[in-house]
Order: sequence, then structure tokens, then C-alpha cells
Amino acid sequence: MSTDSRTLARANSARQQGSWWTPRRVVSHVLLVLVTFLFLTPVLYALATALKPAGETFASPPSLVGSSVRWQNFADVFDYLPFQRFVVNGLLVAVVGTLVVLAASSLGAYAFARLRWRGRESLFLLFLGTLMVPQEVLVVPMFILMQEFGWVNSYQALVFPWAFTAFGTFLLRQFFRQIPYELQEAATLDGCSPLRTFRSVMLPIAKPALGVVAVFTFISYWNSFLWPLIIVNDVHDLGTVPLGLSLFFGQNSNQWHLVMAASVISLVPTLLLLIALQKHLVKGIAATGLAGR
Amino acid sequence: MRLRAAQRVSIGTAAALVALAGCGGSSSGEGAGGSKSSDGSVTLTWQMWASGADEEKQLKQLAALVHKKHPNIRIDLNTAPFKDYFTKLQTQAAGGEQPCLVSMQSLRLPGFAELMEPLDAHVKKAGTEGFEPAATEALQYEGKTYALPMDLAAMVVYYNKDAFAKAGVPEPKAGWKVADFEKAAKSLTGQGKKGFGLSFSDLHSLTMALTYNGARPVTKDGKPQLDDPRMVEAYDWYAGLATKAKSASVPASSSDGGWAETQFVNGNTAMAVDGTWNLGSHIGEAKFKVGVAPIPAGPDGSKTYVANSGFGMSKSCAYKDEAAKALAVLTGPEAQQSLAEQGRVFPARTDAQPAYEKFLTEQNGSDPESAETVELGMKAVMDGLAGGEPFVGTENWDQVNTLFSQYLLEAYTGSKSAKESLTTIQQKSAG
Amino acid sequence: MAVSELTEPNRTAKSAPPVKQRTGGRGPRGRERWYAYGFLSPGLIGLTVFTLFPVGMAVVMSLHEWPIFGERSFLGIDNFRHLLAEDPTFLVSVRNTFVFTALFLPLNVVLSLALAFWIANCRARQVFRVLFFIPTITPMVVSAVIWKLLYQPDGVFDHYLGSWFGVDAPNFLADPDTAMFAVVAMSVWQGIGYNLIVFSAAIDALPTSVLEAAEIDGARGLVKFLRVQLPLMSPAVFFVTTMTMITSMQVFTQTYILTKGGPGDSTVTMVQNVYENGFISRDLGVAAAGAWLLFAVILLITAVQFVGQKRWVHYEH
Repeated sequence: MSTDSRTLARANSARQQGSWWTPRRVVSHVLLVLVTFLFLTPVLYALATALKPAGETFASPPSLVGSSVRWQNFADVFDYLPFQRFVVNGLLVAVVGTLVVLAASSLGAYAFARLRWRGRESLFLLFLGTLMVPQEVLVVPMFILMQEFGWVNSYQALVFPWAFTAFGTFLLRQFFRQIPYELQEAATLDGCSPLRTFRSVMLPIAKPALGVVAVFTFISYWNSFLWPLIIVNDVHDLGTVPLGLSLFFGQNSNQWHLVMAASVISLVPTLLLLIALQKHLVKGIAATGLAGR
Repeated sequence: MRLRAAQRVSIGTAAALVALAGCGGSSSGEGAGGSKSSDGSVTLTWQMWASGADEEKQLKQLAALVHKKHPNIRIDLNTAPFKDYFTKLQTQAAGGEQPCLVSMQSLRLPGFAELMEPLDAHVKKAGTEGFEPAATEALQYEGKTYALPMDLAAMVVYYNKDAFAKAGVPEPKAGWKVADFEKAAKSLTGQGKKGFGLSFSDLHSLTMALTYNGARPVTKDGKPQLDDPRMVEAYDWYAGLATKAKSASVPASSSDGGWAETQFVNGNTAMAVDGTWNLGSHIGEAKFKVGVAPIPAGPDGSKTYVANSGFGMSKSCAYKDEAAKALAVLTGPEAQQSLAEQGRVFPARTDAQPAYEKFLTEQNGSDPESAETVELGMKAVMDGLAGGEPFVGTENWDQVNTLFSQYLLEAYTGSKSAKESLTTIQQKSAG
Repeated sequence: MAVSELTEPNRTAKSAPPVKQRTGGRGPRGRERWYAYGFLSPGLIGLTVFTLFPVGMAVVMSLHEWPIFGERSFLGIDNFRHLLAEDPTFLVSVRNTFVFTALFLPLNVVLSLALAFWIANCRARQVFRVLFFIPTITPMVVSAVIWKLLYQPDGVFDHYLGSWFGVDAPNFLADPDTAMFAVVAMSVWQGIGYNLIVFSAAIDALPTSVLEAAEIDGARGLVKFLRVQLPLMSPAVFFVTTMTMITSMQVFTQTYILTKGGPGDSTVTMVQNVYENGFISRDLGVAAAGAWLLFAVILLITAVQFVGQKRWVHYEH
């Protein structure tokens, strides 16, 4: 490879960066915005429906705007139900659950990735297997277990039973394996115990990966339906957001316009979390070594 | 030999697990489905469905009523969303945990009867008086009463008065026939609207089959006979409203259980068969004037099923005497009056019915036309109740319902004949 | 050997542990083992307490006639035999599940990969990532009802196909020939956000030096993509295909809420079969047996994927 071609390439890439708005780029961007818009049409449609009066959700032919625009629907959600209660419950469960998952899976992942002990691989396989059993069949035994603990209708039953699956452990294990051994060795030579190494060397580097696990875990707690339905006896008191949403479907009639409005409301916390963690999120997955550095 | 060893191990493990499972909720002072405190007062768990906060408040009022009448009884009310109530109930039962006071729908009773205590020994005859006879009858199974009624409902035809006026079609009234119904559906079809909406929900479609030719999906002794020739004939006709006459709209998917009602309220169809339980909400939600008529008459006159819900007690309840007292209050005159006044239900007690009519009239404004709608609606309801027969399903009725939604749709779209669909449903539900 | 194949995808990675040091019997190595147990204990105790019991009980259930309420009795492998030999619905559900996965997996992976490359050129790519993630966090009941409005006769698709192209749209969800495709389309829309983020991150992390070198060598466009970028990203592609396979074999919510398995049994999936056996037919024994068969299938495919990765996944460059 000659020096000339290198210079040429550098010049090339500089030219590319300099002229951001080439016609091709413009077309590509316009198309991208268009595709994004089309992609989000269903969400926009839901938003529009949230502003329609009752009894117009399914009007045919479909229209984006109802006979009137009712921002009032968002207020009505809270009149119809103590929906803020479900949001608070959901946040509490999802945040505590996420913390538990982060703690347990980061410790476990470290042991799986960086400590040497017998039975490590087979035990990890056992962890992975938990991802492959459908929850639908574990619900009844889990309910019986909760009765044993006296945990039926409690916050801890919403948090703990599904906090020990393999997803977080798997992801973090991949991450820890990518951290250069030299770092760990240096810490050990300095006289750090494994615990100290974990806390002051591994965890700080792992922050982005922890962010990924946090977002994915938070979402799965936030959206979980079947388990809360079964373990919560008093929905109006201990219900989470998906349970709250299903309360808009009555024995007689379904409050579709309120379901839509409540769903838009329920999007907000996850969306905020996502935006807040966006930077970490992307760095995080890249850092798990999945990107083939 | 090897199998036997495996069997022993497995049974041993199972026994251990079951033993572990069995002792749930039996710590000191707690009996199944409730608890007793040291001063002798008893708290009973009551499981019920409720949607909005209003509905929960109404139920709490009922619970408070029990405590007022019997100061030594308290009610611990647990509510769940209606559509998931029965999933929850049976999961709890699988874990051996049942509330003392169970709310039950008449349609679901055959499937849950084995969990419930027959009330005949617990409730004196006086306790079952004052109800609409069909209401108590609907909550009986194999000759035993399992619950005391809260409400009572029949099926009626809701129609769009504005659409009828616009098309110049005479409005349906008592005594109208299946042929009138077909003709109206046809004339009201056009410009993207359909005259009628098909449903695969049990009460909604089976009522039409019943009135059409007396078809019944279940034999007298509780066996499914979904492919009975009359059933085939009736569903041939019913599906034909869409496939042949092109005057009925077809659910867009097997998960659209409430299609017919939803399309009606949104103004896409001009008529719908639906329960009287929606009298209040349909009139309130629709952007047009809603009329109510009885189910059109077939060869044997206008036929409808009636169905309802009520409260009973679980077999495992440790405080049956207290539960019986509580049931008497929950379905007593005062409770019924309160539910009727708030428009929660069409009450099972005849004495409370005027209060419900009053609620409807107030809800819909006092102009003569609205008042007339309510009056005619109530009359259609009363007619339906008078001639209605309680619907009794099979023990696996939930399964039949799922099969209905999957396979009847094929008949409605015309990709299968009614006979093929019903035969499949019969095979799968009997097997 | 097989086990370490399965669980050490990164064995050959750059940062693999250095050659084992002889530490002599106990000493630090012994201590390390005890630390390992210490680190593992929260997860392991959690797993033991909350997962082993339910899983064990599900195994026991699968060998019994286990009605939700009523008498239980030992059956041996009869539940499995029933599903495989006597219950036509189960085999149909297996077929449907494979059809779903065969459509959903490649579509999802290819589209999210393409989209990731597309937005990679964009300064505002973080915004696009969030936007494409919104369907993932939208409550399922809402996504389902909106998609039904799109799909239904006289719905949005039908309306525009008719008025723009004069074509009659099929009755997407009520026609057995189109129902599964309609469910797949909705599922791709709903699930693309996760994989987009993973791929997007992988692209951001591609080493610029290698890319530039490739350009100098004359690699452009498709060649560059196939010869350079894709191999570099293969660990990400592998992770995504594995996780997407595991989740799509367990598809239930999308089909149940859009089509409830209908029309006929054209969209009944394995997990729906498990759910209906357990909660509608109330036979927990058959439900558990179905779940274990599903488990076996997923495990098998995962194992094949892990073994096959050696041929195409490059952990080093």
C-alpha cells in the first residue's frame, strides 16, 4: 500500500466529512425520516385515538381525528381509576427489581467470567436453561411457593420470583470477559481481594453494561402481566400498570379511549429512562464485546 | 421395573411437594378463605371483579353493609379485572387457596361447581325469595343452588334509530319475526355500513340459533352436541347473513370477541344482539339514538337465553355459617337497591327493578324520546326475562368458547361450511 | 467439551485468560473458589429458592394427570405421548411456531441490521434509536388494537390499497393464508427496536482503521459490507440470532392478542398450546409436558447454533 493511496484515502474521507449535504445524503435522510414516520404511524394513531371521545375508536372508515379533540381523556383516566397508584406501584416494583437483578447478576457474572472453580461451565448452562422454560407453566408452582412464604399479595412477591433468570448474568458475563486481564492482575498484585477488585475495578468499567441490563430488566418488570394478575389480590391497592390497563375493560363495556390515554401515560416513565440511559445503552452493548472489536 | 422405581421416586417427590403445597394459609387464627381474631370476630375474603374506581366503591359499600348487620363479620374485598377474574380464580384454586366468598357467572358455573359449596343446606328458603325466578334458576347446577343472584340479563336487539329513519325502515318492535330481521339487515346495508354484526360469543350467537330453530349446543345431561343437525342448520343461516345475504359484518379476527357490540356502538352496523347489561353503556356511549327490541321471533316465538352472576361460597371455606350470613346481606334487598340505584346491575330482586329504571331515565335525560327508549328497553328486558331460559354450558365451556372463536370465524368468512366448523368444534371439545 | 463449547463463545477472544498459573494445591486458588461461591451465592440462592422448586414441580406435573383442581394421579410419560401421538393441535402448534420463527427471525435480523446501517450515517442516530424503540415499550393491548384497525376489512390498509391501487386487500387476520404473515409483520414492527440498538452499537464500535484500510484496498458498498463489516460484527449477529430465536420460539402474546390462534388453528403456537392446556382445559400435566418439549426444542437449536458459530463467527480480527 503506497503512501499516496493512504493520503488519497484520508483526503477522500475528509471530503466526505466536509460535504455533509451531498444529494445522496439528502435523499437518504429524507427517505429515513419518511420511513420513521411510517413506522411510527401506529403509535401516532394510538395517540390520536387517545384524544377521541368514547365510542369512536372503531369508527369506519378510519379517521385520525374524532368528532372532537378531548385532552380531557387524560384527566378522565385518573377519575376513572387511581391510575397514579398503579404507576407508583409499577415504578417501585420495577426499580427495586432492577436493583436486585443488577446486584445478583453482576456478582454472579463476575464469578462465572473471572474466577476459576470447578463446575463453572455446567452451572452456567443451568442458568441459561432458565431462559427457555415458558413462564406460563411455572406460574402455578410459583404461586404455591409464595403461599408457603406467606407472600401472596405482597410487593416482595412482585419483585423476587423472576429476578434470578439468566439474561443479566449472561450479558454481564460476556462483558467481564472482555476486560483485559492485566487490569485485574494489577489490582490483585496491589493486594486487592476479589471483592475489592470487583467493586473498584470491574463495576466502574461495567457501568454501561449495567445500564443495558437495567433498561431491559426495567421494561420486563414494567410490562409484566400474568404474574401480577395471579399474585396480587387487591388490584386497586397493589396493581401495576398492565393490571391497571386491564381495569378499563369492564364486564359490560370497554373504555377504549381511556385505555389509549392511559397507555400514552404509561409510556412516559420508560421513555424517560430510555432517553436518560441512551448514551450508556449504546456504549454498553458495544462494550459487551458483541461488536467484534 | 425401572419404570416402577421412577414412579416411586416421582410419587414421593409429588407427595412432598403436595404436602408442602397443602399447608398454605393454615397458620394460627387463619382458616381457609378468611381469619378469626381473638375476640371471635371473623374476616371473610370476598373475591369479585371490578373495573373502575366507582365499581370498587359500590362493592365496598356492600361489604360495609355486611359488617353493619353482623358486627362480628368483616369482609376483606379482593377485586380483579373482569376479563382475567376466572384465570386468577382457578390459579388460586390450583394452589389450594380460595376466598370464602366467590363471585360466579352462571355461564361459568358448571366449570367451577366442584369448588363451590351447595347453598341449599346453608340458606333457608326465605333467603331465596324475592328474586326473579330465572335469576335463582340460572345459578343452579345439577339441581343444586351454588350462588345467590346479583343481577339478571337477557339478550335483546339494539338498533340504531337514526339509521332506521334514514333508510326508511320501520323500527323493530315486539312480535317482529326472523324474516323481518333479515329484511331490515338487508335494507340497512350499504355505503360501507352493514345491517348486522356477527359474533362468536356464546350468548350472542347461540341466542339467535335458539330463536331461529330451537338449536341447543348442550344436551339435557350436559354433553356437548355442537354438530347437532339443528345447530348446523342455525349456523348455516347465521353465517349466511354475511356470506350469502352480505348484510352482516364479520369479526376481523378470532380475538375480536366483542366485535358485534363494538361495531354497533361505533355506528358501523345498524343492529346488534347484546345483553341487557349494556343498556346503560350503549345508550350513553353511542353518538346516535339507540333503540331496544326483543330477539326476533322464530317458529316458536322470540327466544333468548338469560344469564347472570351471583355470590356463593367455596367448599374449603372455614367459616360457612358466617359466609351464609354475609351472602344473605350481599344479595339482600338493601344491597340490591343500592346497586340498582347506581346503575351497576339490572337487579335480580324484583323490588329493586324500579330503581334501575329510574337510574336509566335520569342518565338519559328526561325528554320524551329518551324516556320512551328507556321504557321500551325495560319492556324488552322484561319480555326477554319472562320467556328466557337459563343457559347451561358444559364443564369445559371455556374451551368450547375458545374453539368457537377459532373455528366459527372460518364459517363466517365462508372458507369452511358451518357443518365443517361445528364438527371440528365438537370433536375437539368432546375429545 | 460440548459444555464448554456451549458456554464459552469467547474462548478465543483476545482477552481470554492467560495460561493457567500453577498455584499449587490450595493457597490462592482455593481461596478463589470460596470467593466464587460467595459471589455466586445471591444469584444461586435466588435461583434455588425461586426457580428450582417451580421447575422441579413442573417436571413432576408433566408425569402426572394434574387437573387444576381435583384428583391427581401418576401417568409416567403418557402426557408426552398424548401430545406427540394423539393431539393433532400440538403438532400443528409446533409447525406454526417453526413457521413464525422461520419468518420472524430472518426478517427481524435483516431489517434491524439494514436499519442500523442506514441510521449510522446520521448525526441524530440516537434520536432514531429511541423512536424505533417506542413500539417495544408500547403496551401490547394498544399495539394489538391499532394493528387490528390497520388490518381489518375497510381498515387502513384495505382503504388505501383500494383507493390508491384499486386492489382489494385480503382479510388479513381472518384468512388462514395470511393470518400468520400478518402476525409476523406486527411482531417485527414491535420487536425491531431491541435488535436495532444492539446492531447500532456494534456499528459504532467497528474499528475505523480496519475500515479505512479496506477502502484503500478498493472495498466499497456491498463488498465492503459482506467482506469487512459483517464479519467484524458477527459476534453481535450471533448474539442477536440466538436471543431472538429463543424468544420467538416462545411467541404467544402477539398471536394470542391478534388472532387468538385463529382462524381455525392457523396461528396456534406452542406456548399458546401450553397456556390453553393449563388454564383453559385445566390440565397442568399436559401443559407442563408441552413446556418441556418446547424446552427441548429450544435447547437443541441453541446447541446447534453454538456449535455452528465456529464456522462463521469471528471473535478476532
